[in-house]
Amino acid sequence: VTAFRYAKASLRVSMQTAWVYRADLLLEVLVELFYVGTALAPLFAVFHRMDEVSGWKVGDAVAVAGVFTMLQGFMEAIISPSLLQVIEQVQKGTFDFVMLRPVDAQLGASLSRFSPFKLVNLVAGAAMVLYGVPFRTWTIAGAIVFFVFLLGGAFILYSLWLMAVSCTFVFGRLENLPYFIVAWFDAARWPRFVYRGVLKILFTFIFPLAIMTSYPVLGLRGMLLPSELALGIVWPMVFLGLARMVWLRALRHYTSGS
Amino acid sequence: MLNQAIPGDQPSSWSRILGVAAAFFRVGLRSAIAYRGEALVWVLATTMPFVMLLLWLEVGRQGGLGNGFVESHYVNYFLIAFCIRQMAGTWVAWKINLEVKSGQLSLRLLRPVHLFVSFASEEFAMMNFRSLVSVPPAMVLLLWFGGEGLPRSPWTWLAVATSTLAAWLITFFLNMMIGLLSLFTAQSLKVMELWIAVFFVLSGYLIPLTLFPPSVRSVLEFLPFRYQVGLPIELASGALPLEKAWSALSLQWMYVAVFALMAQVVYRQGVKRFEAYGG
Repeated sequence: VTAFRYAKASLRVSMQTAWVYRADLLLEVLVELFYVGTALAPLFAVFHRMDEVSGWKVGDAVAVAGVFTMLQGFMEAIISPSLLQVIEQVQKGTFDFVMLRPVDAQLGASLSRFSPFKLVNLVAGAAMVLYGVPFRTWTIAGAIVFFVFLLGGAFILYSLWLMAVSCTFVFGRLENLPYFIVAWFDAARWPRFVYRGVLKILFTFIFPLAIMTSYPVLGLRGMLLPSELALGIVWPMVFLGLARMVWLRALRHYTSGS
Repeated sequence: MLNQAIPGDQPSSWSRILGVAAAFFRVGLRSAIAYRGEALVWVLATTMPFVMLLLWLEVGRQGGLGNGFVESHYVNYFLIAFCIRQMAGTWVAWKINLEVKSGQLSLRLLRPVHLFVSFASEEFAMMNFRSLVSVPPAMVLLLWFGGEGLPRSPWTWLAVATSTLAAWLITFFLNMMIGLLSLFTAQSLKVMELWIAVFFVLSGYLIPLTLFPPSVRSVLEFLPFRYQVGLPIELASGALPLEKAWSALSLQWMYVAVFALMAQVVYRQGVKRFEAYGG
């Protein structure tokens, strides 16, 4: 309950700050729409040459890019503002104040700041998914799998970020490590057919791009194998657990600024 | 070294500038080495060429690139794209925005050389370090998986080197120009991000220009994006023979001049405003 109230309070503060710069909202919307356009260009460059690559049609690929855009929106609106702030606080030593707050430090750190305008991406991404897989073709089971997996993708992304930020507690200088996650996450805009062999294993299990963006779409279309369904449910939890463990270990390395 | 930099030392003013630039270069190199972990992370974060390579290989194998598809050409193209991006990339607009915000820029303006020289020598050092870390492994991969059909003439490689330098200069002046816009608007990174989004699609970095329809391509050959990265890649990968590259090479240097000039104008006007704040 405390956590919920904390999140609500920090969301309210962020909203108020954002509202001060409301003129930026329009700019933000335009910029995001522009990004979506440029992000789709390579996709159409591929699919105007062929109707299908490894069984993926253009609609499914657009839907994957849509899921990617939604996750990106979630990342830029919630994960990165808060966790980048943590890096700054650790360097300055002001992370003490976060630890003093009456909520769990991980929660306090992860929900301390929002960029509400970035949620525009959620809308843009959803529109792409609906364009790729029209609503009339949705099934109830497919929709449930889609939303569960979308949430799972968000959990995995959050876990990866948390682990990267934890590393900066230990190695103070690697403050750009989160950008490494961002750069590799960028590859998730493509369906999983891009990876073969060793890379397929890497991007399914270790840096699970496939689970984050391809699985929700495959789930929605009812094309996932039972084993993949199971993996898509278990893996986000494994990642959350792992991230929690890494975070707690890293916290021991934090030498306060005072 | 800096002690020699006495203002008004006219007869040797070029050697003075060079001396100061060399000092900045050393500082830049040392800071790159000190932050080597960070620099390495930036190199490893350059993933796009590899992802695009895998994508186009998959499309090619399934017949999407026509009968003339040769795997090693694409391997060459994107591994070279990775190297050229490391060599011709600079992100100094971010640095400027940071320094304008924190006021550090005024310290830099006090230094005894033009602002561009002080940024350029630091960035150049950074670029050398990045290339040193990234190019050799990419070359090994290149010889292992591709390599076929690479140009052999030393003249072509000389042209690649000058064209890479020109690409770096264009990107540098572009960064300076947009970065210094922050003197007017307090924040100019959105502009830079928009530029980069277009650059990715139209420069040949993600989609080789040969894959565009001819009509689009002829437009792209006039826009500056290709000259920031695409042209040296085309030359080095053998996609564009040197004999056919002369007009493109001259256009590239023209863009260097244009961007340098525009950066200088923004700098002149911007510094006036900066001083008006009382720096």
